[in-house]
Amino acid sequence: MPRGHLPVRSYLAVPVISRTSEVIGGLFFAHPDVGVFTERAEKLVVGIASQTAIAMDNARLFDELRAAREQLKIHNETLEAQVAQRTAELRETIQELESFSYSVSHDMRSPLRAMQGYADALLADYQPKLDEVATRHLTRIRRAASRMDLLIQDVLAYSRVAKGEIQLAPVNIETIIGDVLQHYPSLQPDRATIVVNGPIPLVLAHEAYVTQIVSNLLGNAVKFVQAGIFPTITISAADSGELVRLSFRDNGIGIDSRQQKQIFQIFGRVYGEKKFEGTGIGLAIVKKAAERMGGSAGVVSQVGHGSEFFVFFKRA
Amino acid sequence: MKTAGAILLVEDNEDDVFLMERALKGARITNPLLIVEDGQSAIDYLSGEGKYSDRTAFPIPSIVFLDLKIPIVRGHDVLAWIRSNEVLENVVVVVLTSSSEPRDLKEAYRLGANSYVVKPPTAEQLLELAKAFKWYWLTFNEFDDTAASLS
Repeated sequence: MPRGHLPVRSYLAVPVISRTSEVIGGLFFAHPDVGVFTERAEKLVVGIASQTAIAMDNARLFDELRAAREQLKIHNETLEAQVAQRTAELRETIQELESFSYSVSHDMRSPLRAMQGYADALLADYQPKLDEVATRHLTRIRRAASRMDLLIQDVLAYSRVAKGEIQLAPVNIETIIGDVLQHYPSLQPDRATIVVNGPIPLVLAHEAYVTQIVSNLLGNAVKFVQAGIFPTITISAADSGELVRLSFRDNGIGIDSRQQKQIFQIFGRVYGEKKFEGTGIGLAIVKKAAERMGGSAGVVSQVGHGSEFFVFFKRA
Repeated sequence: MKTAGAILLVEDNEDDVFLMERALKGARITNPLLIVEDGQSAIDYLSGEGKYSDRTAFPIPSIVFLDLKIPIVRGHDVLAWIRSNEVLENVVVVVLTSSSEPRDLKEAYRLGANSYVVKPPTAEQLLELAKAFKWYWLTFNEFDDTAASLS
């Protein structure tokens, strides 16, 4: 014992242990008499030590929590700033894309019209002077230009369906089918039999998109048919609770199961341009339009046994 | 007079001018055809300003074929100007454009276009259009020319 120090003859030390089993302190008791600290006193002090540990743990947790919250706040602010910046960037990109597709529709189609127009004019006005080769070359120029024009139109239609703002309203699909049937030469009774097995329930949709879906599916159904087979299509609808399943059953060439996914992708055509004309965008438009209206599109088919294309719509 | 008078074509693309003239000729449309190449010239022509002051040589048209994407004053603004002008309120304005964008179409009708036609891609189809146009607008449609003759 150093001089001046209290005369310690009894001593009791108990560690304060945190929840994580770490010694964070101790409780120390001393007494000048011998044998003061009984087992009961030790138990009591151990109890106090564990209470102390809980209190200190809580204080520490509180500090940590406050620090974490501070950190989170800073993080959130940075995140918000980042989101705002990216949104602004995205908006700019979308605007650029919109003005791009706008000038595609205006500027790119105009030289095409000139190419086609002058080729037409030559073919019509100079026919007697043109030999077979010249006529064939001019016809090819005209055909290539018209194919380019179709491509541009379809890409524009796709981008309109992909990004256009829509409002869903009750739509009568039967009326739309009637309009489409009137409009397209390839859908007339002398070129295809198209049966509508009504009634088709009202759906919640965007009319222009439904028109696009119906005309693309019917156009495909009469196009992808074995030579010599008269196209026959049955349109029907099934009500499945909140959805309406619209089905187009055809007697066409059918689609291999391995290609059934691919055909719904943009430029996902399966056949060469020589066999069946088209841009390879039509079904991508169908799928995108259906999805934008809260539905979906798909196909059930077997090669040689026709196809059934279906579209799910929200019920009105 | 109830039948159509002159036709004014507002078009800056010389190829489209050539093809349009050819189609109108092909459809045997014999109405005088006058051509201006930008929006400001269209307004000058229609208001009889400057070199267009001679109304015998540059008559107020019954029909205007209006392209939308034209220099100086854009087509939509020319259309709005025509519709705000009392003397021209009966002029039939046919928008003839390469744009099939819904917003162009909507704006054109909102501003008072009588018809909206997307330029057909082939000369054959343009000829069909000219024939259909002649059949309806130049055969059956009756024009109100009182306003024009007042000016």
